[in-house]
Amino acid sequence: MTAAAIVFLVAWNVTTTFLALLVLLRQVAVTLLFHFGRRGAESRPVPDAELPRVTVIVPAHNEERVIRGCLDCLTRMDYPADRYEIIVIDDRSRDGTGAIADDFAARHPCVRVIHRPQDAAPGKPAALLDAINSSTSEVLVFFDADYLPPPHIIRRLVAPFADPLVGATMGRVVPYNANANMLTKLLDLERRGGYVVDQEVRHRMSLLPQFGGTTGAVRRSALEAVGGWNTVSLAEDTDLTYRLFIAGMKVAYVADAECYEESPETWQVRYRQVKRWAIGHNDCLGRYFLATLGATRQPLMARLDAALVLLVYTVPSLVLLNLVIALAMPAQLGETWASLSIMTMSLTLFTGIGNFAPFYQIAAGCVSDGQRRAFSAVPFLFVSSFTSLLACNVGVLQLLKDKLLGITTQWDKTQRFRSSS
Amino acid sequence: MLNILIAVVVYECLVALAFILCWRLVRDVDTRLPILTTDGHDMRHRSGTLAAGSQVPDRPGALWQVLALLLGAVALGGVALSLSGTLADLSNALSAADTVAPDGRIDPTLLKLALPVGQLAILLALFPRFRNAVQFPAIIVHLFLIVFCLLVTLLDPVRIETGKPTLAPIFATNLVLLVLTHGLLTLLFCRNWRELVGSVLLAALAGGILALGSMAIALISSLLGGPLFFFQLYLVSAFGIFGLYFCVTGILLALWDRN
Repeated sequence: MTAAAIVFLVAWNVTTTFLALLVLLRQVAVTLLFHFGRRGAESRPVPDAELPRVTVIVPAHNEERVIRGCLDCLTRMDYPADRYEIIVIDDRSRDGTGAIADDFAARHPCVRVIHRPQDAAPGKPAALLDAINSSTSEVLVFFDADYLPPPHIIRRLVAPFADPLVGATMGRVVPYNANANMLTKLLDLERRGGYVVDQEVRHRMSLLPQFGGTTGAVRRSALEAVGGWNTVSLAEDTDLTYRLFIAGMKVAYVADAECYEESPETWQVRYRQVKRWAIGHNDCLGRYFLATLGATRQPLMARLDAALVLLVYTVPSLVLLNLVIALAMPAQLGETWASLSIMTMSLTLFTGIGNFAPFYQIAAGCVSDGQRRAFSAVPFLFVSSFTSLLACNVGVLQLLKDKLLGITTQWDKTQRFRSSS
Repeated sequence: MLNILIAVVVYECLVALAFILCWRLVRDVDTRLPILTTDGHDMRHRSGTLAAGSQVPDRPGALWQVLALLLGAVALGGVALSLSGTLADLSNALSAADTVAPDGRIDPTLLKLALPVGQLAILLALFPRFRNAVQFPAIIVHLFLIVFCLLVTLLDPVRIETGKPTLAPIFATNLVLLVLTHGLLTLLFCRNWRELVGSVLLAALAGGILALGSMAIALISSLLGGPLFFFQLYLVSAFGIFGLYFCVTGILLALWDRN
């Protein structure tokens, strides 16, 4: 190996290790802030007279197994009927989704169904755009078809819009099938860390909570102000979150707006889901990283944190690559202090902080939920983290390939597991 | 050399057994949050009160937190350091009693390759059987890493010879991380005197795990060099030290809850 190649490898390893360490240390710092910081104030209920007109949008592509449960919940919502509308988008379904939605529309005047033809543009973002264009409400609320929203949730999601700077709100997602198998147990743990601790601290510290595309609400005027709905992105929710942030607006996390979802029950489905997120998220990283750092309308700390969060789906690639370089380095350089330092750093990153940062966050989430026993599954998080590691790396490679060849990446729908009976 | 190999294999088997035990125990623990739904189409739904959200139980006072941290750190560090000394003598005795490799009855290269090739064989055997299992991606990643290490070693066979890596920084890094991990988890979980005693006992166990894991790393370093050693170092650190610590924590939490 030439000296130049060695210098390049060492520089690459040190830089990427530093970036990954920053992301992981941020996770530890956030958990410490959650544990030692002050508690957030309870949200103030909004009087009926002040509630805005709301359109709930439910995209559904072949969702006959789950959509009935979602519509059951939505038609029992505690919200003034004269300001409440549900739009179901039957997105090119080939199963009974359209018929189930039509049946609900016939029984409930607040339900409207849009049937998208088979030749319509594919993908959830395109379907959502059709619904957005056909509604006139000031607030748009989104739920996936497998979600089971409780009756109070819309009142809670719209409450933060009293602040004119809030462009979007996000609730907490809770898997209801956590007991199905070990994977769903682990995904439940990941959700606890992400929502109970990370989103909560971001909200409390006036940083940037993520608008997650489901169990979330968007102010129409804010959406229009930042250029409307992006139908090209595979992470249209992340895309909107960062456009709102760059335009000087806020995203509010509403911890008590809980909604129940179905977690993937097989690793193949989870793999495809994370791969899609990794493609979309890394696409946003390329588009918004510098703009986020330069968003002068936002506080410096919020900009730095938001930029680090953009790196979340890049870290697994950096960590795996660093591990491979570290394993090969002693063979190339011998056991010198340089190769040993790089190897130790990479291994520590992978085994120590890499495990510890999310574990600690999850532990704080379990304690906060008053369910310490859930933490007992944490030794097996390596199972889901290796799925994510693999999916993120393949996602990054596919994104690079698609960018080079100018191909539009196709939306991959998440398979459902609930029995339809 | 054979003694060392056997000791390492026994340690790795014990780690695997601990994971299996923890898996069997934890998979029956109900980890669902109570959810607010009166009637659903799925029998797995559970009716109940809304989850607690961001309401965190009251934190203990600063003095209590400092005490819990200090006691845990002292127990962990004390046991790790004192047991490491005892185990170092044992490890020296193991090496001294070794009679197989010097008289040439077993090829030393074969002994060196037994561990990585054995792991490769296990991963290859698991590959088709676990295709639909949740562990499959972990098998793929480890298969990739071990094949990569074997290929690099093949290209530079001299590197399989034992190098002289300095083990002190590895022990120190793992010690600091484990003290930090245990300390911060103690602050989260430890609320009364009973739990404090439990936490100190767990810290002592963690010290024992660190000492055992470090001895395994030291033994491997006298057996393997190059990337194959570093792959084993990664395996022992990730699963044999931190993984084992979390398994013990998981088992205790699962049992505590059941009682």
